[in-house]
Amino acid sequence: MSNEQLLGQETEEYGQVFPAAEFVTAREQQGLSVDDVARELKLSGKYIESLERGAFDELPSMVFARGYVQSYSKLLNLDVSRYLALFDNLYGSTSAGNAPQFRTTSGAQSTAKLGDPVIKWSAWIFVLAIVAATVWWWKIQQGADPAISLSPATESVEVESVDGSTLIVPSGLAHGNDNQTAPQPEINLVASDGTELTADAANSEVPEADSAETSSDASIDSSVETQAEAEVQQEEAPQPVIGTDVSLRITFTDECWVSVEDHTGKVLEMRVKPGGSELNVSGEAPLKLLLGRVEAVGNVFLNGSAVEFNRGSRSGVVRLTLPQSE
Amino acid sequence: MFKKIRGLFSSDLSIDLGTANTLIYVRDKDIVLNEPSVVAIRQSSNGAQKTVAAVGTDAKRMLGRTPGNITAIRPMKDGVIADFHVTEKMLQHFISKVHGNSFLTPSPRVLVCVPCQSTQVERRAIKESAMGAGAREVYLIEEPMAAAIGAGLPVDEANGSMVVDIGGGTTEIAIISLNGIVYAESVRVGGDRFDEGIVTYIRRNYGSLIGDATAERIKQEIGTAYPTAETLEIDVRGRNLAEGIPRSFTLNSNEIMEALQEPLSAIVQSVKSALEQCPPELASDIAERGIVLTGGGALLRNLDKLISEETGLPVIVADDPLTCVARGGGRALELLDKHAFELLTFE
Repeated sequence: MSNEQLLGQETEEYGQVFPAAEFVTAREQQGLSVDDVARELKLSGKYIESLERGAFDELPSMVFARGYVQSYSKLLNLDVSRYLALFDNLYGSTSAGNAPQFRTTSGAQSTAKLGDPVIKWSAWIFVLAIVAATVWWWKIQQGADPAISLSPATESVEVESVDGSTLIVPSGLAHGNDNQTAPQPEINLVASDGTELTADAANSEVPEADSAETSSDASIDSSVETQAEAEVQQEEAPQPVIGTDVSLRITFTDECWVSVEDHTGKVLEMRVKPGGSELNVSGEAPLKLLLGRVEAVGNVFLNGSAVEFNRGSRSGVVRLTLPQSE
Repeated sequence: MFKKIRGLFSSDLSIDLGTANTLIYVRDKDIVLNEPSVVAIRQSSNGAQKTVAAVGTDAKRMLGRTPGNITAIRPMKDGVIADFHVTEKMLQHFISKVHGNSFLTPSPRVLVCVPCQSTQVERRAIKESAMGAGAREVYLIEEPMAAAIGAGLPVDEANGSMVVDIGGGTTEIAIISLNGIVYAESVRVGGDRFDEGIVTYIRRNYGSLIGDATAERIKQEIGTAYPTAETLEIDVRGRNLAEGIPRSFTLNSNEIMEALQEPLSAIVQSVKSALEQCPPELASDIAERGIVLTGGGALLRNLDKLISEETGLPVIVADDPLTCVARGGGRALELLDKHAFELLTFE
């Protein structure tokens, strides 16, 4: 094992001094002077001497020092990679990217960066908190919703009828989402006593009813002389017996046009019945019955019991909703 | 707003979008990605849809070996974008690869290195494609500046430093002093031209055709820029043009040196002209300290020797020359919030 190798190994072990003296030995072995080397490397003799003394701080900068070590060892046919490894060990890599000490001195670490784990995690927690709050709020909304959506079915509306009595009616009926399902009790009434009276429908308030349906001024117009004159539109709360099956039987004494609809608006019967015939219809209450010629109608039976209604229509047309409300 | 939130989960990146290789340096980490700038595109059977088949190393293996429906392309040419959409896809792929399996799509701040003599249009294209790849903010830095910082040169001193960055597509020569570029030149000669030179030489002298990948392998294994005492040899197989049959032949390093003469002399010429244009004070600084070589081209054997002989100046090769630009960009990124703005160009 040669002297140089021994020296080199020691340096590697202690890692304190760069084996610059090896360059001198190698140079002298090859019979080169400092000037020869300087000419070959295009460097000044001063730099070569600094290099051979290992005084790298006398060279322009560490990058160049490393480069000169590389060129010099290459020129002397020495193991370039070994010297570079030694140099890097002693003075650190010269390149900017792998110089962590450079960063600490520049103080760049003091400023929190976006990629900082703390910021990263707190951002995650913040996002999760927002998500949790949203879910919680949504749950609350969900919890409240059924109460609202159920209410139309269960909520009752107090309806004051014409005669002053108070009816309690499911508002869903009074409401009437569409005109066909909405019960439109239009009953022609002739007051028995013949007095003429006008009642404002506002008295029979149906708070949630569609304005088109409620706006009608219920007028009870009757007179003794002009029977069937009175055309009363009474906004009446419908029956609580929705959807129950009822059977209707009508007898006719003469030819009469008749139409029967159930509460969903489905037409059960719509035709002209000859005199002496009977109409038997069953459907879901309340049934809307339209009789074209009331004089031709004999009797109307609902579930077997006779229905009394006002036959005093001037035009002979009678509209009924069965079963009738009181 | 959402981009900002995503930004919290992204690291700042410095990208060396090179003709041959793309390198990504993650702030406060190191080089995390070093892959060839190659994208393989698969065309569906009806020809309507194009999908990315592979990016990077996988795609490079496909170069010159693809069936009809796959094309492996290099979206960068001469240091600038040749295919905008493919570059965008490639960047997108690399950025998400760097971030690993992130829950959110990353939206990092990105610093991209551009050739110093690229036009405004070319810079804009690079910026737009980085934006399209999901970057939150894009900064541009001139390549030789990044290379000098990456090599560890004292760029902030009132001393001239000369850096020659030999990339795949371009060679950037710059003289830097006080954080600024005093003189810069970019020649569109680089590693690719070396490969082309080898292909041309072999076709002319051996009557055989070899691919770019083989040419690159020859360059890396036996390529030299200056005559050496020992001669290296390599066995190569190429298609004989006359017979149309693959033939094997042996090349030596002196032949390759001859093949590389044309691009090498172009580089030497531009180094010389840079020195001619250089202010005398800086020229004396450079004469005293020397020229620093960076970039993949600096790995060509004895290139430092050639330039040193031609110019009469000391020439050193930077530590890890391939990654200098990306590391320098990363260093600039670390200083971005403080005082690196003078290093960057904002368009």
